[in-house]
Amino acid sequence: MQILIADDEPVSLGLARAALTDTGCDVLTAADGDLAWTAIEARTGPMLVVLDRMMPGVDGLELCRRAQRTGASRPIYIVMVTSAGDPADLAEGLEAGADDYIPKPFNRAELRARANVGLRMLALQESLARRVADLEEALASVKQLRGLLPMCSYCKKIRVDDTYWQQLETYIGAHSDARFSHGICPECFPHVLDQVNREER
Amino acid sequence: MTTRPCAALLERVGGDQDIFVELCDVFLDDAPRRLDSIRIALESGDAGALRREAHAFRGEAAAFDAADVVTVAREIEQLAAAGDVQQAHPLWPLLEGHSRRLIDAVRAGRGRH
Repeated sequence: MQILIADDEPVSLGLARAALTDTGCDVLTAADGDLAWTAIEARTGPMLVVLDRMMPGVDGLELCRRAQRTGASRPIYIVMVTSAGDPADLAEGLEAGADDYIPKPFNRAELRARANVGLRMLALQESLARRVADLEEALASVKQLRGLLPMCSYCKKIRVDDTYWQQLETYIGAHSDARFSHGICPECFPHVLDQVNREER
Repeated sequence: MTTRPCAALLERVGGDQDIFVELCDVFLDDAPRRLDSIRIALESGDAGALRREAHAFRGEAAAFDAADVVTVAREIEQLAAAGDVQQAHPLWPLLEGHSRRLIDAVRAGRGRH
């Protein structure tokens, strides 16, 4: 798991780094919005981003919007760092796609606790994504029989394309996991027996 | 203002002396540069730079609970956001004075650790 701290203000950046270095994650830092976006784009996998609202270059809100678009294919959890006592900042941040916020000045323990929530969410998303991928893979290998099958009324063959007709059992065998054993039903048995006797004569 | 700013920062880092000293050094290194940038932005009438620098400096001072610096920096930031750099000029001596006292207090507090 990766953590990116983006803040142009070095005391907050240092405080955030101190809070997150022993999370067991790979901690990256960026001193402006352009560097932060480069770091987000350059990496793959889930990422927790602690993002200052106001930075030189791409600002925190625009980064949130971009990360949201990236997040469609890859989980990114954003904790927006806002100025204390500025509810407009907070609302804008959440609407732009931040998942949580923390007002400045923050405590090391508080940021750590919020980051842990984010890391749990990312782990959950990753686990769900893996489960969905497994299910999709399983689904792809399941053979299905469905839809309208064009069938000959007399010989019971199935039309596969405009020119090719396939035996019913061959068709079902190819489109399902069914297998066939062969016998003669009681209704057909007298006719078959009669036919065999005629041929022997 | 004496050692109160350092007590605030020390509490923020959960009493970790090493991180406290590291962050004091970061502040003592950055604050004079940041103040210079604010002064230059005021003199040149650059509202965008003034807003950005005052905002960042406010964040740094807030880590030390320096309410006087935070209040003046916020006023400057808001005036700059409104494009009113001229109105921010009279606040400079106030910001500079509060900031110098904060820097001295951080230097003194850092020296004790």
